[in-house]
Amino acid sequence: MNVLDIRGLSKKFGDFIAVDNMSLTVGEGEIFGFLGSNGAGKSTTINLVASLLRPSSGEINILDKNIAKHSRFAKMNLGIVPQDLAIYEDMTAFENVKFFAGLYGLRGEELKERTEEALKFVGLEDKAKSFPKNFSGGMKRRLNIACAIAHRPKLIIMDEPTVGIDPQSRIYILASVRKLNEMGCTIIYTSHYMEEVEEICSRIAIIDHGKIIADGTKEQLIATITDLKDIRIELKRGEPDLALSLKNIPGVRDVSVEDNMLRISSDMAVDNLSQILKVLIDSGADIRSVEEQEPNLETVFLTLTGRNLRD
Amino acid sequence: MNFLNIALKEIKRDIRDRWTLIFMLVFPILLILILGVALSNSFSSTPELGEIRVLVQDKTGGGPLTQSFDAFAKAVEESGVKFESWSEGMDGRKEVEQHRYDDYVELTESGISLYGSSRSAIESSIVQGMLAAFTDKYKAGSVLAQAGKDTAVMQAEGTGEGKEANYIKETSIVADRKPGAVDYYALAMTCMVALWGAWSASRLITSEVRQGTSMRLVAAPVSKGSIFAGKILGSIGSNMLCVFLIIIISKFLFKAYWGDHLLAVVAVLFTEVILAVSLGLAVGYLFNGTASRNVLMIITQLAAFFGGAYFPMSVDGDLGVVGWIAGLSPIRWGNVALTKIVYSGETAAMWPVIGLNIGLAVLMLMASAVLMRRKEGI
Amino acid sequence: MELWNLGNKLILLLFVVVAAYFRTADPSPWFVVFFLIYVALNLIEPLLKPIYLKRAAVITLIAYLLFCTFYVQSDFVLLLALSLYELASAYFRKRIPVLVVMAVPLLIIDQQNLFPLYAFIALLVFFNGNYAHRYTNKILRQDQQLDKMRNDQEKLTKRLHENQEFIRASEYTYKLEERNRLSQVLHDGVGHSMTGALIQMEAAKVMLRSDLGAAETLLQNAIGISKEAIEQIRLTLKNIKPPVQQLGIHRLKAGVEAFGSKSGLRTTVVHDGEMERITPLQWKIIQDNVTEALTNTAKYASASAVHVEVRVLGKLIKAVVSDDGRGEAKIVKGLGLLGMEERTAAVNGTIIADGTRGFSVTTLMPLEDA
Repeated sequence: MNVLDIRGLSKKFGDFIAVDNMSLTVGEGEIFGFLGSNGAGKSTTINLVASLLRPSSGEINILDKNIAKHSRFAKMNLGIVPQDLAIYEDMTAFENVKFFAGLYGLRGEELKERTEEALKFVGLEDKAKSFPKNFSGGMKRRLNIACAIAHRPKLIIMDEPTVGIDPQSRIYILASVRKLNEMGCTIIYTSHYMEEVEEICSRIAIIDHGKIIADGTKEQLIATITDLKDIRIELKRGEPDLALSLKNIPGVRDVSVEDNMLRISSDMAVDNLSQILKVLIDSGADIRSVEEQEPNLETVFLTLTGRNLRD
Repeated sequence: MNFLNIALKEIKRDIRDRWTLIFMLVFPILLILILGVALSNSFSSTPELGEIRVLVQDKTGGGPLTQSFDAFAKAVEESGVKFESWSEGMDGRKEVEQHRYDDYVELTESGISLYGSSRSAIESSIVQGMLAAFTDKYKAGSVLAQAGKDTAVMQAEGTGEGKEANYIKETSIVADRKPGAVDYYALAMTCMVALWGAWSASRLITSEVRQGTSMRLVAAPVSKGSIFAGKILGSIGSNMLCVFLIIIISKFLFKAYWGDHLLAVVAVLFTEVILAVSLGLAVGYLFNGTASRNVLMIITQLAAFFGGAYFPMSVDGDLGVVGWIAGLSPIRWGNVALTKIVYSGETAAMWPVIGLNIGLAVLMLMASAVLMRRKEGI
Repeated sequence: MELWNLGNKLILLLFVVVAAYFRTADPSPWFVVFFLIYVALNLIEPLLKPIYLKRAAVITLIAYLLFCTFYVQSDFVLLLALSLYELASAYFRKRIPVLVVMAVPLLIIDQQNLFPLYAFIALLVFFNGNYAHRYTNKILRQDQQLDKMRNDQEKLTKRLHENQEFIRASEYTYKLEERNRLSQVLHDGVGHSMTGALIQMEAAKVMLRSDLGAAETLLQNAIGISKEAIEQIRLTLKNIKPPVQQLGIHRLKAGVEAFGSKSGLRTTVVHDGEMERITPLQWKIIQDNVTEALTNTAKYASASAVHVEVRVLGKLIKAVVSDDGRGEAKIVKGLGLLGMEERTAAVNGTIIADGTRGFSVTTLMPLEDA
């Protein structure tokens, strides 16, 4: 079963195409990452899924049901953590969560329990009676999440939930995303922090100018641009004659020596670092530092679009 | 059910808003107090009611009614009401319409009929009150008259002579219960606060958008209609609450006079609040952000100014162009109707105002509904 | 059309309000309320979606007007003309029955002075409505026609594309055939000659000891055949050798340089990775997209330099054309970009157009054997 299935989705604002013929499926239990720079179309896509915007063309299914036709079903199963805080500053944390959960048909004792549960989940149970205006940025973000999960949705969409907060809150939020996922929620996570997406997402789509230009696991994405990794070894002194013996190690493609710096270009799929080190040690080389550089998502993004994520 | 949820939340948030408190309660109450005290002088003297001229056509051909009426006329002449007899060729109703007379009275066998002019409302109500008192007495008189003629005449004369104070006392409700400064401003400010509901209403939708919560509302399984209804209901509720509070505070703290028909008063104010909320909503939809606030600022301030919220405007009498402009102000309609209800007990005066308010409110709500349906999100 | 209707209604309403207001000596406030209700009822109709509800709304409106005519003020009858026209024109296609329906209120008008007024208004409404209707129909028809023509045009363009595609494919087939022919020529001509020469030489080798003269002849024969064959190879090769720049990256470079000298822009072409993994079809797409992008740059960008880059990545081919022009904050897809997208989509690729720093068009295509 696909939790989210987007087909041929487009959204135009006048002449401007924010989402361009996008197709995408997210399976149950995934943490799916949307990676893209600001204005790439991430938020527009999310707003379309949340039926905040009407698509210009294409269709969206949640749990195999079309959201235009089964709007109530889709909304009941969807939790949204918007990029901009969406909480009432003049209502307490408890009242906020309770109000939003109440919109999903929860009443009475159950409503109260779910509200408490959600607040506890984000670690705000002892701040239930406080007003968000006195909260730190991170606490507000956590409350923002609590408001989206009290009705126990199957699919949670988090739009940049960690923008502008302290590292501690960020760690807390990332941990709760994992916990939600373990509890059976499918999660769509957008961010322009590459590290976060790399860390928690099981699958990632790179979005640029309203199009998905690549998607897959982190490894698959990296493989699209290269299958080589870079190993840099700093030696006490240059050993130019080492190059030949290193080239015989399986996976090694190229070796270059620059003063006392060894640069080895090697197949990513082959784990040969220990072999390389063994050859070096056996030949009596004095190793000062070893650095293995695999390309990351930032490199993938840069290579594919020619721009940095934070542009 | 969800719209009640939303309405309750709206009221809760409004109550907690410091600005609501200041603008909708503290400010008007201070105004009542300040203006009420500062301008109390201009209210203490009796209003400039000139001579009230009434045209009388006697169709009974001189019966006991004529005699009693003559006596009555003579008695009240001293308090400034002049009855003039009808002469051939006059059309009584037209005379009143053309403002040559304030009122026109027709004496027939079956009773007394009075034609008043809306242009001289106070005069008319004074005459009406006097006549009411007269007919009450005359009825008593005529009952006796059937028992014996002599006594009847005596009775009629008796009521007429030397007891002019009697008529005045019973009929001069208006003269006695003239609004003092505090009374006047209590009424006017309440009307104004009711219209100020437009302010908070204009922010109903934009505030949700600004806070980002509109996204949650739309993403929740709640129809746009419910959101719309809930918000309107909430806004009406909290604004009505302010109106109630001002009535209560002015009534019990400042001893402002609110008359004996509080239900009718509340009904008029209620429809005024509904009108204000719909106005705010429609303006909020038509203009965005600061533009809507400016438009409402202009509308409400003009309405307050011309509606007589800041400086007193007499409820009756011809005000010329100002009067015509004032007629466009909902505060003015409310004020006039309330004055009639409170000071002369004319509860019927509320119906046209209620009708007008509701009618306009429905129009604006529909316009907002159309605009909302077109929009994506809320 | 709706605006027209609305305007008509508004003007008529104002007229009736003014007429009614000034005709009566003492207009009651109720009158205003009834008018407002009428306006409100009028607004209901456009809010409703299903056609039967719309009809119902119009009928309600008529009923309401009749009620007002009899119980409030006879002037309301004037407004009937509009609603009656709306209702009647929905049911009758001919004009006469519509007129007849609209004439019905004449029977119920009791005030003499309203009679001609109603008749005039009815005629005006009828005339206006009729012509508005006729012209909207005309516009509708023309719109449909326009749509059809657009569709046709699209289809034709598509077919044109397909044909061009076909021509290119044919060209490719011709090339294959040509190669085939060449190998045939080599095989038939040179191959046979060489075999002949070989046999003669073998024979000469055998005869060398016994018959020197015969061997000499045989060798001479072989030499002759070989000479002929070499000449033939030279000739054939001369015929078949293609100009090198017509292929792959060379062709691209040549094209870009030609563009540079023609437009006066500085051009650079860079390539990286195993160019041989790019298939001819992909080269063709790269070539076309680059040409298109260069044309765009020349036309709109007011740039001074343009950079072309072709890279073979792990599983993708990337071709970028970027200029240092003024860029475009919001990109509006023109025919050029759409054409590129279509072409590229045929090999499961995408186009990224970006205008934040100069203008750049990136073509991404998956490698076929990856």
